[in-house]
Amino acid sequence: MVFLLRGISWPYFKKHWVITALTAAGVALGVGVYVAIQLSATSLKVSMRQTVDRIAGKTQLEVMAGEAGLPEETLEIVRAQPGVAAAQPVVEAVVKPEGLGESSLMVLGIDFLGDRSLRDWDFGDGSEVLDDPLIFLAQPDSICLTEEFAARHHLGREGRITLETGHGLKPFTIRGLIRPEGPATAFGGNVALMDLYSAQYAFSRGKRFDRVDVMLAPGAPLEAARKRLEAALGAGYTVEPPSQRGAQMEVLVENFAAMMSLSCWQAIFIAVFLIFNVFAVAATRRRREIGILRSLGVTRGQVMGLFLAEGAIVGLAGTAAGICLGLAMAGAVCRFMIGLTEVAYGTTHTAPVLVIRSLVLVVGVVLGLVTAVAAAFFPARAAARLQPVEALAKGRFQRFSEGSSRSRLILGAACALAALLAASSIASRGMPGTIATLIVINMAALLLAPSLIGPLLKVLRPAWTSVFGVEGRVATDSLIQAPRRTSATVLALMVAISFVIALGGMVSSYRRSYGIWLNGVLNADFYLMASDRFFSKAYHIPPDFQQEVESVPGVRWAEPFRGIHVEYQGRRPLLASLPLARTYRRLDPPIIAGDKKGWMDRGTRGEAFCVSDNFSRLFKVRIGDTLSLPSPTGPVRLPVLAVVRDYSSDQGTIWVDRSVYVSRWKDEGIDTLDIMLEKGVDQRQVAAAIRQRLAGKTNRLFIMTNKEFKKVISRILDQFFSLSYIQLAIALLVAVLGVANTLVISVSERRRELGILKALGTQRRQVIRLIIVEALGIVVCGGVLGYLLGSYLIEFSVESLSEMFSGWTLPYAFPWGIAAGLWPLLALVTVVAALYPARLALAVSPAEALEFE
Amino acid sequence: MIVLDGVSLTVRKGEMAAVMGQSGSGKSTLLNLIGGLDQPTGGSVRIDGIELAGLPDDELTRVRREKIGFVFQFFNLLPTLSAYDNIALPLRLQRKAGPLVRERTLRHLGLVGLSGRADHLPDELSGGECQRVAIARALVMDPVVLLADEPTGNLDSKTGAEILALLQQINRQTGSTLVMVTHDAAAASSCDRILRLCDGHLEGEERQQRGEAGDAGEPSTGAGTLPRQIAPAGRRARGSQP
Repeated sequence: MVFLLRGISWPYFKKHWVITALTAAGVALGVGVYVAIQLSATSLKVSMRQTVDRIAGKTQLEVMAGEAGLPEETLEIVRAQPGVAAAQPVVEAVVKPEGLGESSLMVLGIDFLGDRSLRDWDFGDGSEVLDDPLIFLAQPDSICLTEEFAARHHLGREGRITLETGHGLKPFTIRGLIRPEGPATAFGGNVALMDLYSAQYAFSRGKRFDRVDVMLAPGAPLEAARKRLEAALGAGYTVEPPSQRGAQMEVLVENFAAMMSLSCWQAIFIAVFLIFNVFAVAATRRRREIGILRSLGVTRGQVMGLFLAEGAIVGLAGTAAGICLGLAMAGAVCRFMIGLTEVAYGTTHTAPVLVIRSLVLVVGVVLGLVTAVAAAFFPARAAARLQPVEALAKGRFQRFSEGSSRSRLILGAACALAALLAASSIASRGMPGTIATLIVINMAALLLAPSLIGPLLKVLRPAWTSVFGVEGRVATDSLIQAPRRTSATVLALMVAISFVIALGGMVSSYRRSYGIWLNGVLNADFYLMASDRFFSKAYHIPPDFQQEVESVPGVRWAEPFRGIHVEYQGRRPLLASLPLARTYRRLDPPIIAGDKKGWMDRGTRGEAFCVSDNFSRLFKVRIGDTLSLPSPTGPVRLPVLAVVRDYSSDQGTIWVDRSVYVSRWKDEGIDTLDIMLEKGVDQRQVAAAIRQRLAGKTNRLFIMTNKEFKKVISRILDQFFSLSYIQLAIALLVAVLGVANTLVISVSERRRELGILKALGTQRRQVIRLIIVEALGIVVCGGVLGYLLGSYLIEFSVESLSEMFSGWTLPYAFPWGIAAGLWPLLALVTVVAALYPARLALAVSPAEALEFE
Repeated sequence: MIVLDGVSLTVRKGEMAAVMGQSGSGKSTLLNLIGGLDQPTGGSVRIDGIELAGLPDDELTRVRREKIGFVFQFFNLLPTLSAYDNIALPLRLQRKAGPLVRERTLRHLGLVGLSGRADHLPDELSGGECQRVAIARALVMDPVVLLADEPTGNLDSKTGAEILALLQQINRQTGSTLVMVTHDAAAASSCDRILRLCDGHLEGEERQQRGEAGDAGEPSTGAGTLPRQIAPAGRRARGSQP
């Protein structure tokens, strides 16, 4: 076998190195994306776990009350419990230092005197913090940085660092440096310490902590202590080991990794077609070689083994390139993932050191190999089944490439029927059912579509002939006469384009629905925020700002909005609060089920919940059901009186009046102030007056007009959908590889035909036109079929997939913009992809080509 | 379509038999059946006592590898392998030991007079040289029978005569058995027997004094230990048209 590989396969690879390279590139892309996603997710998870573990120190249990934090009095309750040896409050904020170019700095507000019972902060010798902590505590602008962070930014003791706070940008004085040991090595060493109460003020926590860290007395059983604390604190509090918090963050990362992995599977899926196409064509072209080998005594098994080994070699080459690509991309993917988790859930993290897990690399290798070998299987089997006499005979090209169309059509029709039946009941089938249905839909399309390619090309032929003349006719004839070569690429293109259309349709549908909803509910004149980091949990607007703003002439009223994620049945829906009585003076709630009047009466009095349509579907909550949410003051049980259309969170949204939120969650924090103006006032003047009024309290305010606010949201949506756009780009890239690949094969196969054309006087530009026109023919077929399949996939996506993942049912929206923009883009990339094959075609010498056989 | 019907013949060890007939008469199908490249729909084909009809594909492949050597009109050399590697290919497929492969390959290169062209690719050899390599490859496994399909059909008359002379010389030196399909009466005259096929039927058979095929150049010495016995017999066969 080694001899055959060296003597026969290797020269073939060398001779067709472009095709081989393009094929391997398909594998490389799939493996590369997989490795990059997995390594970055792993690195992020390891880093998050390390951060939690290192910050935890000797902490055995953490007491929390969701994102709203817990009231100060909780601390004494915790300390009073038997078995608790130490309990220390913590305020934790991940903030952006101004002008340092660092992505994030984790600021911990701790009790400097007591925290050492839990964490070993090493301040080094001669530090004022050690000598006289009171000096540090007496000055609220005091901050400690790690030595590593300070050195990186040339900062020293008594130096200044400016941080974004709830009161705008504030300078802090560095009054201590921490050695990079223990907890100071968490978060990549980007750790800063502040006094607990200074941090509460700086980050607008009011009289609340983010958590209380607990160390138990020696020998105290953990589980018993946990139960005792839970019983003492009541519902609304969580008491868990620190590792549990790490696990929750890991779930977020895993979710994004799973979403991003779609790109990988899609690339792999299309790579299978590329390899299949290349090997199917190779088996046809090498039929004489196969015949010679068979006549010399090479068995069917050996022929099959040879082709599979070639597949494995291409797979290995692609895998090796893919792993390098993955390692190179992992850092960027990691940063992208951090950005996404921040946009979606408000969790921030610093870019971690890349952790290279051998398991990821091994799976990458297996993935690349299995893909290549599986794709080469059917062509290898076809080659092995070839009879020596048939292989050695001339003029059997097309016979070999014909498939059994009848059985294929029957199987395709069966798959289509199964897909339709499965799609109609998908919502109750969960993830495996959805994936299975998607596979069956694609199978049906792949089995049925080849029968449409011939008729499509025949329809295209007169049009192509009239537009491109004789080249158009020769090109379409060439495509019709090589069904195997043509169909594999058309199918690969169809899959890629259908993916683009489906994804584009889903994005369009979401954007359109979101736009309609936004225009309905976002009708305040101004929006005031404490930071341009829209979803960050570190910045809140102090509660007294509402009154300050309302006292500005021209302002009718201001509504404080606060949204936190709460734990509910294993998910994290958004609990959103506004003073609803005021809110409903400016907007009509987009209620789609329930008693509108009843909700507007009782909801505004804080006697009911209203839920979003996706919450209702995800958690199967109906009008009249009583919803029980954990809060720091015990479970909040209220009836659900209405369901509204709402796209705030893919995990569902629960609306409640602000009075309930403030009283039960003990949190007066404000994320956004929605400001309504008097009629006819000058918006600019009022904005300036608001800035002036708050000037003494904050130096950094974000006041946006309605239009600007919507633009910001649109930008955030774009960031969120950038994942989809990356997937679109990968789909297109792989599709282009497919087109280029097919054209190179086509030119190599048609040397004789091209030679005859040249001998008959065909000019150079005509040859180039021929190749390009042929490529365009492939693209038109792939495009038409891709649009058809994509149109159906949109329906499946918006009705079933969207409902399963987010509970939203979105209206069907065909992405006309993407669909229209795709044609010129495809035409352009096709022309580019055709340039190399066209050069090959020009290089064909008539004399050489005519003696080809 | 019935290609061969009622054909019955036996070729003895050391014999050179020519099969003649017009295009479509079934010559190549007969050769393919003898060589185990094709299977008859009925009847029997025996090589060295082994019944080929109905033999599973892997067994048939083994018979081809061990007992039959093929020489084709278009040489059918693997273009990516040198003359040496083309000849060595069947031995390597048999997993013969390296020294043995080398010794036998070089001996057969010498047998066909191409000792100096071992490293040349088929593209770098003339038609006659390619056919010599093909003959050496066919002989290297010491097959029971050598099957030649129009071995001179793609060569000019002088080179064709050289190849025939080489085949005769090999037959004389090694006692090899040869069945050759040809259109060429001169080529057929170099054989012991001429079998005439017409529309799939064996129409006649001539035994003759073998004629000399002209000056065959200088095939080297070194003899194979080829032939033992060949006994093909077909009654009715279905095959594909050549």
